[in-house]
Amino acid sequence: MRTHRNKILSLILAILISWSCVEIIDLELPQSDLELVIEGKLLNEESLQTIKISESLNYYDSSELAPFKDAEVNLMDHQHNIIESFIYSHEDSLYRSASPIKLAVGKEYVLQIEAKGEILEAKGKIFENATLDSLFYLSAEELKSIGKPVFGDGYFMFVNGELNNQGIEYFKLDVTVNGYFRNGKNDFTNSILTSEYFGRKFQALPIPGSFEEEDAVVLELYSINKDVYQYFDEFRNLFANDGGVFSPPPVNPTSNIKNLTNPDNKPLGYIQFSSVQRRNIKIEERD
Amino acid sequence: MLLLASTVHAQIYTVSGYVKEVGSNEGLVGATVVDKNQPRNGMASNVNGYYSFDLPKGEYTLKVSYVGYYTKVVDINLTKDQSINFNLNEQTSKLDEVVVNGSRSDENVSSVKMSTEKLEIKRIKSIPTIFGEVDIIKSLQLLPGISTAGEGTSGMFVRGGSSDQNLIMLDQATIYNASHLFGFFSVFNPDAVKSVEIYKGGIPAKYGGRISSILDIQMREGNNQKFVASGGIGVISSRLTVEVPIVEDKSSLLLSGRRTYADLFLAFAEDENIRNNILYFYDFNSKFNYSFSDKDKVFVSGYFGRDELGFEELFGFNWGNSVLSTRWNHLFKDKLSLNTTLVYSNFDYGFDVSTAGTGFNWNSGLQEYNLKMDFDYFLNDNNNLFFGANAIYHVFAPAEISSQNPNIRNFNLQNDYAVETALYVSNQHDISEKLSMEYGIRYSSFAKIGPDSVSVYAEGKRRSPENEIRTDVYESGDIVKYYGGFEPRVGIRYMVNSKSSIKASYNRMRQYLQVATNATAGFPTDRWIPADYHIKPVIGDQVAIGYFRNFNNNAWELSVESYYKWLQNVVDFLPGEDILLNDRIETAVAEGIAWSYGAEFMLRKNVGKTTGWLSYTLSRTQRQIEGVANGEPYFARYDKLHDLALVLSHKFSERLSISGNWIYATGAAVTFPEGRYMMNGQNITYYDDSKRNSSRMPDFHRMDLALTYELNSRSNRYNHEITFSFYNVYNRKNPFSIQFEHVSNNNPYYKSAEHGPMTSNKPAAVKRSLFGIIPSIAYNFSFNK
Repeated sequence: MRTHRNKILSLILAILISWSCVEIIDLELPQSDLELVIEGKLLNEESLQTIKISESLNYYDSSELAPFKDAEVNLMDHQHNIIESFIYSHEDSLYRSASPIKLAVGKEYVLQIEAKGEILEAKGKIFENATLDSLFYLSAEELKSIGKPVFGDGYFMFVNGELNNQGIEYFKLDVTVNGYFRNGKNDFTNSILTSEYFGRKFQALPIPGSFEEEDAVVLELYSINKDVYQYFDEFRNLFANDGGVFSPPPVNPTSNIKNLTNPDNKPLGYIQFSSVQRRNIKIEERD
Repeated sequence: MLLLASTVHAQIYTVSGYVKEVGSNEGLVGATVVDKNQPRNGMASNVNGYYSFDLPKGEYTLKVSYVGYYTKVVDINLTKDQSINFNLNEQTSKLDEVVVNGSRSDENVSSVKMSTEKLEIKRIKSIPTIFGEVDIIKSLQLLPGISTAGEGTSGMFVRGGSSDQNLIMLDQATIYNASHLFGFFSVFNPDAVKSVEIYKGGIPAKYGGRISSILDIQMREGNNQKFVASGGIGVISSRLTVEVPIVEDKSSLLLSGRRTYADLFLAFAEDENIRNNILYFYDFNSKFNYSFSDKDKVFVSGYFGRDELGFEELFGFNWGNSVLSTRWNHLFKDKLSLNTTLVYSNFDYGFDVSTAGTGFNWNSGLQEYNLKMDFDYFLNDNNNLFFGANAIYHVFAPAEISSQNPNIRNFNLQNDYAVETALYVSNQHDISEKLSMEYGIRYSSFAKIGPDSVSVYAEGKRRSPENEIRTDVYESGDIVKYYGGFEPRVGIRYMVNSKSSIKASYNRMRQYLQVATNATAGFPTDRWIPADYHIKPVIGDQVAIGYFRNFNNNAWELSVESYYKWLQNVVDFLPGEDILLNDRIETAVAEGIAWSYGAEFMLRKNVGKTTGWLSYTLSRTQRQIEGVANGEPYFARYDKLHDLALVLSHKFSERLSISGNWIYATGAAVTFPEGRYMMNGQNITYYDDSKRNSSRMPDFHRMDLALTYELNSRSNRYNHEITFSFYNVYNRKNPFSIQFEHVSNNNPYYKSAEHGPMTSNKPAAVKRSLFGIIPSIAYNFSFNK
C-alpha cells in the first residue's frame, strides 16, 4: 500500500520535474574510516551457506570492494552453541560453511562474527513460508478486457495462495528471467513484501514486473524476519532519496547485526534467515 | 471638584467612522486617522476599516493616510460625538510624483508593530514569477526572515521555523495546505485577495496556534457600487473575477476562479508516460457582504480549490482545501466593536488505484470548526483594548483504505479529535509621546478527546510495541490529555525623534498540531498530528529588537531587526519508522529543542517612479534531538547564513513599467555521503549517522524580469495590459537536488541504445536543475460598467 503510494507520488513528481536537466559536478565530499560491510543469506535448504564480508570505499573510489579476510564466523543455535564455523574462500571471497547445512523451519539461530577485535551478532528465526497454490499469467489486453488495467504491455503474472503464520509476515520475492536476476532499483523496491494490509488468503496477487512470450521465469520467495524487512524498507527509502526537498535526510539502513563490543560502531548490511521456495514458469504464446 | 471633573469629562467627544476605498467601497485595514497637529491623537483602522478615538471639544484637522492611496485632510469642528467616513483614492501612476512631495504614512516608525510585513496586492502582482503566475507565498519569500526550501516550492520558513509552524488564514479560515502541484504554486488567486500581512514576531495576543508566523490574507469584498469584471490569460492558467453590486452601497458579491491547463501541454510530450496524464488544479473564491447599517455587517466567504492528477485508468490522486468563513461585525457603540467569525476548514486527499490485483481507495482528511469572538474597545486616547475568545474543534481522519479486491483488507487508522480554546486580552497603550506599548496575554488550551485508545509504555523505556504495558481506552468525549498555558506578548516602541524609533518585542506561542514528516517540503499526503498523551505541544519564545528610520518625508523606509527564538518539544521522526499508516505515531517520534537567531535588514521605497526593496537576512537555525545525529546539534535543512533579495519596479511612462528581482542565498544544509558500498548487487552510499546536514548545496542566485505595457489609458471602462516575463534571466543552473549515482560514459543521460557501448561506469555527483530561463506572457484585463 505504502509502496503503491510512494510509486504514485514519485511518478507525479517525475512528471512535474520532467523538464529539469542534470549534469555531473565536482563536489568535494567528506571521508570517513572504512566500515565493515556484511551480507548473508542463511536458508532452510541443504547447501553451502555463505556470508560476504568486505569494507566500504571512499565515494569516488571506483574500484571493487575489498574483501575482509580476517573474520571468524560462526553459526550458533539460540543458546549460542556453535553449529557450524565458516571458512574464508579465496575463490569467491566469501565465508562458506565447512559443509552443506540446512537451517530448520521454526528454529532460531545466531550468526556471530569476530572482526577487527569486535564481536558482531545477528539473530533470526526461520519462518514457515507461504503456500503458493498456483501461478498464472494474463496479457495486458486480456486484463484490460476484464476491466483490470495495468502499467505497460506484455504478460502479467499472478499467484494464489495463503499465509501460514500468525501475525504480520514479511517476504522477499526475487525474480529471474531467462537466467538474469532482475535487480534494478524498481525490481528491488517491488521485491520487499509485507502482509500488513492483506488477508490470510490471496487470490490473483500480482507478481511485480511484466514478461514477454518465451520468457523462462524463476520465482524465489523468501520468508524474512521483521528486522530484515525493516532493513530492506530503509534500504529502498535510501534508493528513492534524491537529496532534494521532498526527501528526508539520508541515513544508513538499520542493520539487524549488533556490535556487542562497541554498540555505537554498527556494521553495514544484514544477515537474512529465510525459508525459501522456488517456482519455474514459462510464458507461452496464447491463442 | 466633582462638578468640574464632570464638566471636563463632558467636553471629550468621540470621532469614529470607516475608511473606505473610492470605487469599490471596501474598508481599508490599517489606514491611519490622526489629528494633523497632534499625530499622537488618532489610530489605525481595524480589520473592517473602522476607527474611533476621543478628542476634546474643538476644531481639528484630521489627516487620513494609507499606503498606496492619496492622503485626505479634513477640517472638523467637534462639538459632539461625530461619525465621519473617509473615502480614499488609490494612487495612479500619473500622480505618483505628486505623492513623493506630499505627506505619507510613517507607520514603519510610529507603529508599535515590528517583525510584521504587509504587502500590497498591487506590488505582489508586479513581481516577476515563473510562468507569469502571480504567487503570494513566493512574494513573501522575498522579505527578510522568510525563506524557501528550494526553487519551485511554496513552503515558507519564517525565522528558522518549519513550514507547519505558520498559521495561514484566508478570511480567518485556516488553510492547511497552501500549495498546488506539490508547492510549485500557492492556492491564493491574487485577483480575489485584498491584503496580505505576515507577523514573524511581536505577534499580538489575538493570534495563536502556530509558533513561527501568522499569515493573514483577506479576500476582497467586491464592489458594491458598480459591476466589475477582471481576469487574465496566462501560459498555464486563466482567471476570471466578477464583482456584482447586489444593493448599492450595502451589498455585493465577488466570484473569482482560476484553472490551469498544463495538462493540455502534456499531450505534446514524447514520453507516453507523461502524455497520458491528467494534471491540473483550480481555485474558486467567493465572497458576499451585506451592510445592514453602519453598525452591522455580515460577510460570507468561501474558497474551494483542488488538484487533480491521474494516469489513464490506473490511478487518480486529488487533494484540496474547502473553507467557509462567516463574519458578523457589530458596533455596540462608537467605542466597542465585535467581530464574530465562524469558520469551517477542510483539507482532504484521496488515491484511487485500479491496478489488477491490488486496487484500493485511500482517503484522508482533517476538519476544523472554529468560532472566534474578537472585541475592539477604544478605551480612551491612550488605550485601545483588544480581547476575545476562540474555540476550535479538530477532527483528524488520517487514513481510510477500502478495496473491492479480496486480497486487500479494509483498513482505518484511528481518527483523532481535539478541542482547542483560547482567551486573550491586550492593550495598545500610548504611554507618552515617545513611548508606546502593546502588551497582552493569551491563555490557550488543548484537550485531546476520545474516542481513543492509548498505548502506555514502561517508564524509562523506548516507546515501542515490545515495551507496552497496557492500553487505555477512552469513550467519546473523554479527555485523553489536556494541555494549557499562558502566552505573554509584549511590544514596545520608543520614538528617538520624528523619523526614527527603537522597538522591542517578546512573545510566547504554543502549537498543538504539527505535520509528521522528515522532508523539508511537504507532500499533500503529509499527516497532521495533534498533541496527545505522548506528544507534547511545541512551545516557542522569541525576543526581537529593531531600529526603524524613515527618510525623505517617509519615501524611504529602513529597518534593522535582530531576533532570537527558542523552541521546546520539537519533534523529529525516527528514520525507518512508518509515519503515514502508523497507529502508534509516538513510537516514530523523537523530541528535542531548536533555536534560531539572526539579523534582518530592510530598505524599502514605496513611492515614486522607482519603487521596491532590498532585504538581507543573516541567520542560523539549529536543532538538537535525542536519537538524531547522536543527540548533537545540527542545522535545519533550510538554514541559510545569507539570504538576500532585491526587488525593483520602475515606471518609464504612464503605460510602460519594468520590474525585476535578484535573489541570492547560501546553499541549503544537506547530508552528503562519506563513502559507498555494494549491497544486494546495488551501489549504495554510506553516511556518517552522527552528522546531519553538515554539508552545503552550492549557493543559489537568480534574476527575473517582467515588462508590462498597459494597452490603453486607465480612465477607460475597459483596461487591459500585457506582461512579458523572464524567469531566471541568465539561465543559472541552480541545484534542486544532488544525487550520488554511478554514471556511464560520463553522461548522466546515458542509454546504451542511444549512446553506444559502455566504456566507463563511475560513481559521480549528479546535479539536477529545475528551471532554466523561462519566458512567459500574460494578458490581463478589467472592465467596469
